Amino acid sequence: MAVSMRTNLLRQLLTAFFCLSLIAYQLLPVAASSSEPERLSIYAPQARYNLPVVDLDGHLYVGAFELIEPLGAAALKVEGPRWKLRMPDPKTQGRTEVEAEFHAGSTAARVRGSGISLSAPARDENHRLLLPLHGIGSVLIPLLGTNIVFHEAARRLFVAGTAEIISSDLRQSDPPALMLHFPGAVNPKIDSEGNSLKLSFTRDPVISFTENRLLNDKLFNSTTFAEDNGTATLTVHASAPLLATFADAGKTIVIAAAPTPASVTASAPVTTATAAPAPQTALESASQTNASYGSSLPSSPQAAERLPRTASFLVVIDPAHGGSDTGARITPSVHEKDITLSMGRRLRQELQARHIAVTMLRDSDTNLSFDQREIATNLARPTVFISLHAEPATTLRIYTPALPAALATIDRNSFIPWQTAQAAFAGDSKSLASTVSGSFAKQEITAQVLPAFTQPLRSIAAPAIAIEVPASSSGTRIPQDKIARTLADAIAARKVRSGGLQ
Amino acid sequence: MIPRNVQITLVLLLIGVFASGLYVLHLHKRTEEDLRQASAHSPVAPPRMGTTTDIDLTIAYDDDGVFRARKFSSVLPSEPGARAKAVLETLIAYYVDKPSPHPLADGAGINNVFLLNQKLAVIDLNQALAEGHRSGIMAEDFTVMSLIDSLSANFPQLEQVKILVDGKDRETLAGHADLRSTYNTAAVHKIVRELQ
Repeated sequence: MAVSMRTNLLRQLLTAFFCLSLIAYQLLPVAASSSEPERLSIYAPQARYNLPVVDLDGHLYVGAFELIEPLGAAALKVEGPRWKLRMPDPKTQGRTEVEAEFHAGSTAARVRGSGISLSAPARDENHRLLLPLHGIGSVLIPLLGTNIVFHEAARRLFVAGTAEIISSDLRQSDPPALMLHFPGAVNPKIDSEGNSLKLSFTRDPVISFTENRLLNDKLFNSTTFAEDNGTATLTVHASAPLLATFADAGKTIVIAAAPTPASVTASAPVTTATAAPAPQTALESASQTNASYGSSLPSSPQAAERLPRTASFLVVIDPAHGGSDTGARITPSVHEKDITLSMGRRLRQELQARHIAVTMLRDSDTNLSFDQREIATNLARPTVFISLHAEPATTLRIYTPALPAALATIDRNSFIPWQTAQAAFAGDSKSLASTVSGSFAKQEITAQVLPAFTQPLRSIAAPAIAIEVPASSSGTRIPQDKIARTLADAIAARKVRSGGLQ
Repeated sequence: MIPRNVQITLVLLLIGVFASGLYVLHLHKRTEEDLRQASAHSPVAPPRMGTTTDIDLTIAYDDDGVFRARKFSSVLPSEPGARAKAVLETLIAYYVDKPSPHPLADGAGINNVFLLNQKLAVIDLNQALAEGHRSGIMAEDFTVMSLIDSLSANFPQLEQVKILVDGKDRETLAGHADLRSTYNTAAVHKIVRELQ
C-alpha cells in the first residue's frame, strides 16, 4: 500500500515537473528573442508616417511630439511634470493656437481647456512625453477637431476620413485578370509566395470590409485581407503563379497569371518598346516575371542578348534599392529607396513631357536584384541608363562606371561579356556625365563627377551614369522637380545631338 | 486533497524551474554583452618589438572627395599574410580614430588577409566594418579603393584583390560598392591617381 502510494506520488511529481519544464521551455525563447518592432501607422491628409510603439507596464505608448508634430507644426514645452503642447488650430486654418496639457505620471490631461482622462498615466521617458495608445482618439479628436478612426488591434490610425476602400472585379477575359481598384495611387510591397501574391500596404490607408472572399474562378481561388502592426495585407490565392502590374496612374493593380518561362524572353523586348509607358511599365512587369521565374533565367548570364531595339531613343530609369533593401537611412522614417522612387517618377514625367520613351525598372516598393536590373535593362537596349541614388550629403554627385579590371576597348557590335558589358560604352558614359554636369552647372547646381564601382553599372550595355542626390531630414537638398527637369533637359539635348526622333 | 509534502515539493520544483529559467536568461544576456564587447574592440595595434618599417597608405578624404598618400611607421611581422593584415589594420585604425577623414564604425577591422602566389590577395573584412558602414556610393567606394591601393602600395607585385566579409562572398559593401568582382590593382590605382 505504502509502496503504491509512493509510486503514485513519484509519478505525479514527475508529470508535474515535465509539464512545468515544458512550459518554461516554451516561454524562455519568447522572452529571450527579439521580436519585430511594433509600430503605429498614421494616415492623415497632410502626412502618412509610422512611429515606434513601446510597451511600458503592460500599456502601449507612443511619443506625443512625434505623433502630433507631422499633423501641424506643434511645439512641446516642459515645466516640471507638466507638458504643454501648442499647435496652430486646424479649425481656424492656423489663425489661432490650440493647447493641450499633460502631467507625467497622471492620467488627467486638458485639451482645448476641457479635462480628459487618459487610459494610462502619461510618461516622461528620457525627456520624451509618451502617451498611452489605447484611447488616443480622446486626445486627437478635440485637438485636431476632426474625426479619427483607430484600428487599435492593427495599430492603424486614420485621420479625417483618409481610409480608402479596396474594390475589386474579376475579369473573365482571356487571360482572366483580377482588378484591384483604389481611390488614390498606391505603392504596396509585392511578394510572390508560390501561387499566392501578397500586397503589403504600410504607407497606403487602404481598408477592406471583407476579410475572406472566395472567387470561384479556375485561376483565382480567394483573397484574404488582414491588418497587423501598422500594415494591411491583401493576399491573392491562385492555382498558378501570379504577376501584378499597375495601371491608371497607380490607382489600379491588375493581377494575372505570370507568363510561362518560355514566353518571358520572347515577350520582354516587344513590351519594353512602348513609347508612352503606363506608370508601372512593361519593363517592370518583365523584371517581375524574371523574379517569379528566377530559375528559368540565367542568374549570372555570360553575354547580353542582342535583340532588335524598336524604340529609337529609350531611357531606362533605375530607382535604386527597394523592398527590404532600404539603402541609406536619411531619417529614421525616410530611406533612400523612397527618395529614389519619387525622383524616378518625376524624371519619367519630365522625360515623357519631352516625348522621350521611358521605362522604370521599378515603380513600387519591390525587391529587384542586381542581376534582374541588368537583365531587364540589357533586354530593353536603352540609349541612356540612369541609376538614381540618395544619401545624407551636401553635394549632388554624378558617377561614371569604373570597371574593376582594366580592359582593352571592346567593339560594342561584337559579343560582349556580361560582367564587363559597360567596357564597350565607357566613353559614351563619360560624355553623358559631362552633358548632365554641364546642364546642372547652367542651373547653378554644383555637381561633382566621380568614377564609381557601384552596381549594376558595370554590366549595363548602354551609356550609363548614377546620380546621387543629397538628402536631409527635410527631403532632398535640391528640389526634386529641379533635378528632374535639369536631367531631362540634358537627356533631351543628347537626343537631339544623336539624331533621335523628337 | 493533495498531501502537504507533495504541495511543498511542487512549490520547490516550481521555484527551481523558474530560478533556472531566470539563470538561463541571465546567461543569455551575459553572452550577448560579451559578444557586443568583443565586437566593439578596435583593431589590435601591430607588435611594438622589432625594427620599424615605413608603410604607404592611401587615405580617403570624404570632405574633399580625394585620396592622399601618407607614410606611417610601424613594426610589421615578417610573414607576408600577417604583414598585409598589419598594414590594413593600421589603415582601419586611422579611420576609426576620431576625428577621421573617412569615418568607419567602431569595431571595424580585418579578419585576415591571404596572399596567393603573391599576385592575388583576399581581404576578409569583419562583420562590424560592413554592417556599420555608411551607405553611399562615394563612402563605400572610397573604403574599397583605399584598402586595395594601400595593400598594393606595400605589395607592388599584387595584381588582383578580392574582398570578403566574414569569410563570405557579398554583393556590396553597404548597398553600393561592388564586392562581387575581383579588383585589378592597376585599375584601382589609376582611379586613385585621378582623385589625388
